[in-house]
Amino acid sequence: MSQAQGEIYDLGYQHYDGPRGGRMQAVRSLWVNSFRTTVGLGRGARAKILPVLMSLVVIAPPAVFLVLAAVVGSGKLSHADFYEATSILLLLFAAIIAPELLIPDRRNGVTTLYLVRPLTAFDYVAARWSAFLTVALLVTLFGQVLVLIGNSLAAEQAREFLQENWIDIPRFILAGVIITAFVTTIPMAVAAFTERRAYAAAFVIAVFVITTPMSGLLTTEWCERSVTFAVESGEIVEEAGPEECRRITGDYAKWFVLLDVGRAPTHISDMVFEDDTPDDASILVAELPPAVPIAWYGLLVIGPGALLLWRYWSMKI
Amino acid sequence: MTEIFTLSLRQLLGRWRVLVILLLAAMPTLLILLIRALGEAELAFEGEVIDLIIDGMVIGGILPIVTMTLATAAFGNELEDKTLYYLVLKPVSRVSIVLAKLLATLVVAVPLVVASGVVASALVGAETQTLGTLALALAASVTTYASIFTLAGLLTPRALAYGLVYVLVWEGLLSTIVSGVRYLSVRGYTLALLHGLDEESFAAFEQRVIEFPAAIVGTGVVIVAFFLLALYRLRTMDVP
Amino acid sequence: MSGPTVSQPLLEAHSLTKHYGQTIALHDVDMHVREGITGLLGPNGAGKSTAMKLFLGLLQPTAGSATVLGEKPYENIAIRMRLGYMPEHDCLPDFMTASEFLSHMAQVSGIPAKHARTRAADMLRHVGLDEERYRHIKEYSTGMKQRVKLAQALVHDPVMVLLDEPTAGLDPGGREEMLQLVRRTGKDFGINIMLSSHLMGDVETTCDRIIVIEGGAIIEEGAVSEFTQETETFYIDVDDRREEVIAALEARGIKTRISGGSVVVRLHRDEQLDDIRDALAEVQARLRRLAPSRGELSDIFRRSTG
Repeated sequence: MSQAQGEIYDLGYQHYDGPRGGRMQAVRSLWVNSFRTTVGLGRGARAKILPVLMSLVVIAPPAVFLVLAAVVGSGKLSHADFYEATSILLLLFAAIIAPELLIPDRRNGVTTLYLVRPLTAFDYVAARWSAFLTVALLVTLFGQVLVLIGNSLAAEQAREFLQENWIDIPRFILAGVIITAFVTTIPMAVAAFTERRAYAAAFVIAVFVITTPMSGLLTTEWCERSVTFAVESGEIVEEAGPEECRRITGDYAKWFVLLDVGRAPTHISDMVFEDDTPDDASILVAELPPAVPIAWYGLLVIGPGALLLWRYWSMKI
Repeated sequence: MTEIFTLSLRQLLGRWRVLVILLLAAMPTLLILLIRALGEAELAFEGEVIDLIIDGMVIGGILPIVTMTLATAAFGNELEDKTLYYLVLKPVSRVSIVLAKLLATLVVAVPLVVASGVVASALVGAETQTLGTLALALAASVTTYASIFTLAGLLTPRALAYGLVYVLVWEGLLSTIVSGVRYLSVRGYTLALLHGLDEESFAAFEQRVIEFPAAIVGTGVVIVAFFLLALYRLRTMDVP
Repeated sequence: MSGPTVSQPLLEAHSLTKHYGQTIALHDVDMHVREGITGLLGPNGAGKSTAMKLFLGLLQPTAGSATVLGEKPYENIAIRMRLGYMPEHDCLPDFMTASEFLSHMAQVSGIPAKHARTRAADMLRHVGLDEERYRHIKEYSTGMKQRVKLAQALVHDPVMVLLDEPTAGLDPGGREEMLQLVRRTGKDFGINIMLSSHLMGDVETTCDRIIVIEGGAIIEEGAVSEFTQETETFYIDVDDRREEVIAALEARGIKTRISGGSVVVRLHRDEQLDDIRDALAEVQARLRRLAPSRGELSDIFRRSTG
């Protein structure tokens, strides 16, 4: 550094007299930085692979549907079903990308630099969280728009179809927020407690992947026909009674359906869409008062969210 | 080589990680105990139980995730902590290094995954011979994933992330929807091995299996090929 | 915000106390830091970093107060716009260019985006990283990283910057470069500095004032000139009548201090040795030792850290 020092001196140091924004400016800047980090901007080609791949994973199913609808001109995919099908993919997206916003900062010690600037731990977490939520929401809504286009292409009169079904647009936006808030908060909370990004992702995915078959088995329906025997003109005749079905865990089954945590947000989105194409899980959930799945969803978002904030609030720098 | 093996083993056995993995592996057993405790139904080793516990939980979830976490960490952590350099400086052949890393993963993952499936199956009354078959197929499956992801750990620091996408999208979604994918899917091989060895007990997989010989060849080729690729990668890469 | 006057200290601590559970990191400290470069000297674990973090508002005091320009940074976070901080440990992201990182940090400190980019470029030039500013920080050497750390502390043009062990981990050459940068920051840029170090050489050549801290308490402070001027320090050990000796010395205009059972005096003229002799004779104390010690900072440090 010695060779050019004389010149450096000559340019002199200039104090800054311009405007200074406060906390809002700090949060906004952090939000923009988080958004860029999420999509891999300004960080070389390799950093873009995962965000692009993950977005494709989420968007591929409706894109395929759209192509089929345009070419074959048939088929209908409901917006609610799209969320049911892709919520696990969205979660995968979040589990892999969201920890990127918290863990490297802690590993590299950058968190300290943020916390000595005019923002609080709460601001920091809020900026990171909401930036990721925005990216996830954009990807989701893009998928829903593809579904909408596909459906209107498959309909006989596209314009008429849209006029009849415009209500689905605010619905899928609301449901999108519900689902992305869920898939954003949980991986971020896990990422607040581990030093390696990959483990945060693996843990979240493991929990979601294995609770699905667990809940499936706990709510399995067993059907039996009772058989009665009668003697008819000297011969023994079997008579099949009515089929009797019961759940493997009896009356508890409707509670165990909640164990499938991946479905927690889609139960709520089904309510938003007033979805009436029930599958096994939604039949069972319907047996519960509607407040229960809503409370369960709330618990799964607010609980991890509170843990996340607490962790950063009480962090030893 | 024994030294590298024990060292790798210690690296894999972080306190929290082991606890979480143990809990994960215990889930099938806990689930069965829960259903028993509720006493509403008798479970048997058949139908839904095999489908959801053996395939859904173990082969589709616990097995790949546990194995991938350990296998990608085998070299991944060394790369992340910049310690691989010291390892390759030792007067040990590269074959021994790769083998030691692979064995360290297997020594942890095989007993865990096999126990996870076998204990649960024994609880619902699977026969001893069936349990043997199950143990064998699960061990083969763990070895296959371990071989693939030991290489992945050498290729990219984000190996586990790619692994999760692969397991969920390829093994989880595509191999259940598109039947052709099963010829290139570890899950497909595993189900075919089980069905091929014991058609009666694993009749539940009838609709979803490829030919038994194809599964055997597939498993063997993948294990050997990825081991050799990892070896090649370690020989040719610039160790930072 | 009007420029601070000399009468208002930039940093002020009143009975500042910080406990971590059972450990007392800082106990009942009073401190007034004014303009210029202030050195915070003490061994590892003396409480230097804790003091800085309290002034930054990263920690809440257990008792007492720490204020920056009259504001409590833990409660009024806006005051942090006027502070810069360079931590001792690593604090840089891997996959960002220095230019991008500095611009981002300036914005997080409240500077609008268009000004932030100019400030970032200027600052990197000032610390001598003009050429490398578009490279990822991951590829930098330790010395370069240390300069980025300094630059991020200055990029928003703070009134005061706190540098925690800025020379840690640097080789002798890198150390001298860093200290030169610190001096330039203080003298040419006109930014007030508090610099902590466990190395005498760092503060001796860089600072205007020195605060020696150990075991969570301030044990000595003053202008560097006071410490380094041509003075001689003498240790006086007496068997008895120590208090009377001190009184007799003070009566002759010699300031005294007790350290490790010895009476310590600082002499500015040789004739003062006669005063010591007279004082000892006057109170008839039995002298055990009268030993000189060169009045260098390193000496104070050795004494104070035992």
